[in-house]
Amino acid sequence: MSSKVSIKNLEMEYTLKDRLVHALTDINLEIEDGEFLVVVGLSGCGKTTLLNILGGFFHPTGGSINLDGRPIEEAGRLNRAVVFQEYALFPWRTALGNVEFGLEMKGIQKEERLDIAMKYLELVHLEKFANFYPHNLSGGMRQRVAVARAYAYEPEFLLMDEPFGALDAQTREDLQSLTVEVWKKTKKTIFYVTHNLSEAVFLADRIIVLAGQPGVIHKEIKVDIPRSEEFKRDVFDPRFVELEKETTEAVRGN
Amino acid sequence: MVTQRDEVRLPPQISGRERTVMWIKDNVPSFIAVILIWEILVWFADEPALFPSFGIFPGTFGSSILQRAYEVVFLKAGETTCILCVHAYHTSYRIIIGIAIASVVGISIGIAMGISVWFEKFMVPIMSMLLPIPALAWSPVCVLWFGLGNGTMIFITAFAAALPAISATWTGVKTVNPVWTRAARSMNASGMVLFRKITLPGSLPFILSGIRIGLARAWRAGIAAEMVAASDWGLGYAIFDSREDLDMSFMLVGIATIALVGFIIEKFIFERVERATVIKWGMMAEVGSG
Repeated sequence: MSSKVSIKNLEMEYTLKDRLVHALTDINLEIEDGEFLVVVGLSGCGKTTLLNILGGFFHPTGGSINLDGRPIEEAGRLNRAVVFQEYALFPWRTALGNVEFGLEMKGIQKEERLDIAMKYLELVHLEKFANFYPHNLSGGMRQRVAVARAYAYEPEFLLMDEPFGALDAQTREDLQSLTVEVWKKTKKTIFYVTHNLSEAVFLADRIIVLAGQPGVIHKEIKVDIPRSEEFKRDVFDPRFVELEKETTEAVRGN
Repeated sequence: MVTQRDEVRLPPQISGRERTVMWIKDNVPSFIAVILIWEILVWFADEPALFPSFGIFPGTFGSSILQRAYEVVFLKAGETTCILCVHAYHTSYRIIIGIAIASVVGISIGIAMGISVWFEKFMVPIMSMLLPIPALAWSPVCVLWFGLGNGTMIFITAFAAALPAISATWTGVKTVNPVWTRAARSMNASGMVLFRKITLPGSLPFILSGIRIGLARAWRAGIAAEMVAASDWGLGYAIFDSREDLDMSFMLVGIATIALVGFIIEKFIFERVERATVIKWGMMAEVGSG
C-alpha cells in the first residue's frame, strides 16, 4: 500500500508571548491508506500541534507533508476533516443541518445534500434525531453528529483531537466502538490524538508516542490484536494489557 | 452499535395558555397590592383632584380612575371610539419605526466595526461622543429640522435605540465563539459565506439583547419626546395636554397604558422572536426559567 500521508523532516516553531517555542522536530512519519493511527504523549509533547499542522491550521516551519503524493498545501480544506474535543456543532442548525454544512461548502444541491447527510446520520445511528438542535442532545450524541459531519463530505482523511475526552466513561466506550465501526465501513485513514492510553490500544492499528520538548517520535507500537464483530477489543486480553503497559512505559519515558 | 439509550433533553413544552396562567399567578397579586396601597393613600389624602380613587370599592366608581379609563376606551369623543387606542397606536407606530431604523442602521454599523479595524477605530470616538447625550436633548434640533410631529419622534427614538444596537452587535461579531469559526474554516468556509452562515447567527444573542435594551430606551425617549414635540396624537402628548384640564385620572390612565403597551410590544413581539431563535437554539436562557 502506498502512503496516504507522508511527513518528512517536519519542524514546528512558533512564538508565544515573545518566547520562541520549538514544538516539534525531526518528525518523519508515513501513514498508510485506511490506517487507524493514534498519537499519544504527555501534555505539551506536540501531538495537538501535529494534528493542527495536518489540519492546515498551522504551517510547519520546516520539512514537508504530502497527501497522496502531492504537497498538502495544495489540498483543499475539504480533503480533510477535523473532529474537535470541544462542542463545535453550530447551535443554530439541527443535527441534519450541521452534517450538511461541509456538503454545502462543496456546492452540492439541496436534494442530494439531504440524502447524503441522512446517510451519514444513519451511520452514527442518529437518523431519528435529524431535526433536533444540538442543545437538546446529550454530549455523546453531539459528538456523534460531529463525527457524521466530518465524514459527510468524504474527506481523504480524518483528524480527531481527543474527541471523547469530555464524556463519561460509558458513553466514551460506546463512541469508541462506533468510531471503529464507522472506520471499518468507510475505510478512511484516521489520525487520532489522545492522552488516554487504554483508548489508544483499543482503537489503533499503530500507536505513535511523541515525547520531549521539542517533541520527537519516541516510539512506534504496532497493535496486532484483532477486533471483534462488535468492533471491540477485550481490555483484559493479555496482549492488550501487555501493549498498554508498553505504551505507558514509552510515554512515561523510561 | 451504540448500546446506551439515546436521551434527548427537550425543554418543557408550555402552551400559551399555561404561560398566561403562570404570568397571572406571578404578577397579579403584586398589582392588586399596589392598587390597595393607592386606595389607602387616597383615603389619607382626602384630595380627590390630586388623588382620585382607583374605583374598585363600591360607590367609588364615579370620578375614579377606572371610570375615566372606561370613558376613553369605550365612549365616543366626536367621531372616534377609544381615543386612548388612537393615542396608543400613534405612539406605537412611531416608536416601532424608530426602532426598526435603529436596528438596521445599528446592526450594519456594528457589523462594520466588528469586521474592519479601521472602521472600528473611526467609530469608537464618535460613539463615546454620542453616548452621554440623552435622546431627548435632540428635540429642539429636531423640531427645527422636521417640525412638530412624526419626524422628530422617529429621530429621537431611533437615536435612543441605535447606540445599544451598535454596541451589542459590535461585541457580538467580535466575540463569536472561535470554535465555530475554526470548525467552519476547516470545511472551507471563508469570506461572505463564513460571515453569513457563522458570524451572524453566532452573534445573534448579543444582537438581540442589544435591541432589547434599545427597545426599552426608545420607548421611554419616544414618550418623553411626545410631551415636547408632538402636535395632536400620542400617549405622551395626551398626558401632557391633559394638564390643562387638571385631569389627574386621565394622566394616570395614560401612564398605565404606557406601561401596558410597552409590555405588550416587548412580550408579544420581541420575545416571540427570541423564542424562535436564540432560545430554541439554546444560546440564551428563557426569562424566568431555571
